[in-house]
Amino acid sequence: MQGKGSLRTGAKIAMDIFLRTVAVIVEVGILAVIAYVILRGVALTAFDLGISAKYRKAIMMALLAAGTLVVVFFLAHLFTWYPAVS
Amino acid sequence: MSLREIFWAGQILYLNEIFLPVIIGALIFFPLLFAVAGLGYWRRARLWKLGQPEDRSDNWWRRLRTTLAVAIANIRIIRGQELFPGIMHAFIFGGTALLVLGKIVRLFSYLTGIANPPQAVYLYASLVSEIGAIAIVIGGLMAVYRRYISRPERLDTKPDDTLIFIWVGIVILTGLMAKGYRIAAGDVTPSDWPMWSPAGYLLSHIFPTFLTVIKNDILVWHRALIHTVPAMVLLGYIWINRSRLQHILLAPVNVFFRSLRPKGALSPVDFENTELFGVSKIEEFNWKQLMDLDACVRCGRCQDACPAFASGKKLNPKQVIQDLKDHLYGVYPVPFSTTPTESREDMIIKAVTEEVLWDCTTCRACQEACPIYIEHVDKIIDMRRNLAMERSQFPDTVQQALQSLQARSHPFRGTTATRTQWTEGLDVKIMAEDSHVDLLYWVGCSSALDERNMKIARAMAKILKAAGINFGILGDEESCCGDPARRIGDEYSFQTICQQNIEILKGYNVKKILTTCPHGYNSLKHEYPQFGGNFEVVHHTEFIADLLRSGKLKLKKPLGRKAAYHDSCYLGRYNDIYEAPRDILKTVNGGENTELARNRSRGFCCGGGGGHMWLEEEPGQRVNENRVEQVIEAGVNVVATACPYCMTMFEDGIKAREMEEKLLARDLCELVAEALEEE
Repeated sequence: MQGKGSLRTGAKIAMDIFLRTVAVIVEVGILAVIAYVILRGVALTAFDLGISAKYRKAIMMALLAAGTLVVVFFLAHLFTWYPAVS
Repeated sequence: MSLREIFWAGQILYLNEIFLPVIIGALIFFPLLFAVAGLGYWRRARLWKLGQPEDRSDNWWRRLRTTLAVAIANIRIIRGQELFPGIMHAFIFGGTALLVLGKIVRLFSYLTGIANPPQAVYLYASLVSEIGAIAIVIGGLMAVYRRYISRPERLDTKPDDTLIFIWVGIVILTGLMAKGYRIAAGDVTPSDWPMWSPAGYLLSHIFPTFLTVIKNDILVWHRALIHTVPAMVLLGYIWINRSRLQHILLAPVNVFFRSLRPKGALSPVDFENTELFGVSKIEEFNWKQLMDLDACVRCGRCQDACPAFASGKKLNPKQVIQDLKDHLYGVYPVPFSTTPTESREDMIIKAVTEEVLWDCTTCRACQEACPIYIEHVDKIIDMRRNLAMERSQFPDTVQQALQSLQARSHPFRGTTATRTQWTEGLDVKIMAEDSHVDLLYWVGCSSALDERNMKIARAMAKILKAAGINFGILGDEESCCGDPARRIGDEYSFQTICQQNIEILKGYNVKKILTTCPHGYNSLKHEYPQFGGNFEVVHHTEFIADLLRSGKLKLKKPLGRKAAYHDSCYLGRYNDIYEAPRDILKTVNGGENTELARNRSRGFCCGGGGGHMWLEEEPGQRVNENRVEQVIEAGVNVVATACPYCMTMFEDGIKAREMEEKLLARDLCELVAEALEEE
C-alpha cells in the first residue's frame, strides 16, 4: 500500500513540475512578446525622432541585449516565485 | 452576507492596495503621455501649416454630422462591397468604445463611490468592458486573418502594423488575465460571476494559485503590472503618431475638414493674384491636402476602385498619397523643424512621376471609395497644372488637342465637320437667328463634331420636338465647354473659354441649358458659377425621365432588349444622377434592367475622362476594353450610355474585342428616339 501511495505522490509531483514548467513558459512567452513589442516600438520611435539610419545596427544590437536580459530575468523570477499547479 | 459581498470584502485588498497604486501611477504618467502626444501632433500640424491657405471653416454643423456619421456609425466604412473589413472595423471600434466606457466608469468609481463594488454599476461596467474586450478579440482575429492569411493585394504590411496587432492582443489578454487571477485567488466566487465577467471567469479556471494570501497578492501585483505597462506604452506609441492607429484622431479631423465644394468643381487658379500655377513643391499644396497625407491609413480601397490600376497602368491612388507623404517627410526630415532639406528631389518627376499623373481619368472612384474623404483627384490635377502651365510637358496627343482647342475652339483635331452639320433636315433653331426659346441645347463638341455621336444630337433633337419643347442651339457660336482643358491642367485655357461662353450665354439671356454630355453638364453647372455664369443646367437623362414621367413624351413601342446601363463618372459619382437613366432604360425596354457588376457609385470608368479622349493608351492597359469585358460578362446585347465620351470608348472597345455583331452601344436618347418611331 505504501509503495502504491509513494508512486501516486511521485506521479503527482512529476505532473506538477510539468504543468508548472508549461505555465511558466506560457507566462514567459507573454512577457517576452511584451518586451519585444516595447523594444521594437522604442527602435521605431528613435528613428522617427531623427536618429540616423547608420546607427540602426548598433541600436538593434543594444535592444536585443536588453530584450535577452529581460527574458532571462523573467525566467528566473517566475521559476522562483510561480505557485505549484495542483 | 451574500457571496458577492464576501467576495468583494476579500477583493478590496487587491483593488485598494494593488490596483489603486497602479492607477495612480498611470495617472501620473498620463501628463507625460499627453505631452508626447501634443508634441507629435504639433510636429505634424506645423508641416500642414506650411501648405497654402484654404478656408474650411464653414458649415460646422454639417461637418460635425458627417464626422459623427463616419466616426461613430462607421458610415462609408461598412459598405455592401466592403462587408468583411467593415464589420471587422465595427467590432474593433465598438469593442474599444465599450472597453473604454467600462474602464472610465470604474476609474471614477474610486472618486465618487457610487460605482464601487459590489454595487450593480460596477458589475455592469465589468460586463461592458468584457463584451468590449471580446468584440476586440473577434475583430482582431478577423483583421489577422485578412492581413496574414487572405492577404488582399491592396493591403501592405509594415513592421509597426504587426507590432500593433501583438500589442493590442497582449493588452486585452493581460487585462482579462489580471481579472481572471483575482477571481481564481479569491476564497469564494459569487455564483453569478460568469454572467458579469464571462471571459475573466473562464480564464480563472486555468490559473494556479498559492495557498497563502501574501504570495497571491504578489502574483496579482505582477499580473496587474504586466497589463498596465504594455497598455501605457501602447498609448504612448499611438500618441507619438507612429502607427496607423493615429487614424483614431486624424481620420475624424480629416473628415471634419472635407471639401464641401460641389464634387465636380475644381478649385480655380486666381491668375491675377498668384504666382503659383499648379503644384510642383509639396508646400504648394493647401494645408488640407497635406493633412490628407498623414490621415491616410493605407486601407487600399482607392487602389481597388481605380480603373487605371485595374487595367495595369502605373497609377495607384494609394501609392500617390504614400509617395507624397514620404516626399513631405523627406523634405522635412528633422522633427519639429520647418526648414526644408537643401537638396530635394523633383516631386512630380521623381516622387510621383509624370506617367502616373497622366494615367488618371479623374473618374473619382478613389475618392468615392475612401472612407475618410481624402482628395486624390485635386492633387493630381494640381500637379498636372504645373506640368501644363509651368513646364508645358504633355503627351503629344494632348498637346495637339489643346492646340486645336485654342485654334478651332474644340479639341477634335482633324475633323472637317461643322457645329451645325448634324442638324441637316431637322429644322433646329440657331440662337443667332432666333433666340426666343425656352431651352438652350448645349450640344457639346463630341456630339456636334464626331460622326458617330452626331446621332446622339439628332436623337435628342427629335425627342425635344416630339415633346413640343421650344429649343435652340448656339451653332457656330458654341465652343468647347472647357472641361478637357481643365482636367488636363490647362487652367488658363479653361478660364478663357469659360468666360467667353458665359458672355455669349448672357448675351442671349439664357436661363436653362440642356446637355447630352455629362462633362459639359458638370462644367456648366458647377464650374461656370465660379466665374459668374449661373444658369439652370439639366442633363438629358433627367430631362427625358421627367418628360416620360409627366406623359409629355409617349413611346410607341417598347424595345424589349437585354440592356444594361453604364454609369458615366461625371453623371453618377460627380453629380449623383443614378436613377433617371435607369428609369428611362426601364421604360424604353418595358422590363427590368440588367445591372453590370460594377455599377452606380462603384461604376467602372469608360476610360475617356480627364483628357483621356486625347491620350494614346498602351494595348493591354486600355480601360475601355476592360469595361467592355465586364459588359460582355453581364450577357447583354445593348450597353446604354448617357455620355458621348463613353459612347466613343465603348465603340472602340467593342471593335477591339470584335463584338460588333453581338453588342451594341447606344445612348439612352437614341433608344428613346427609336421607341418613339412607328413600327
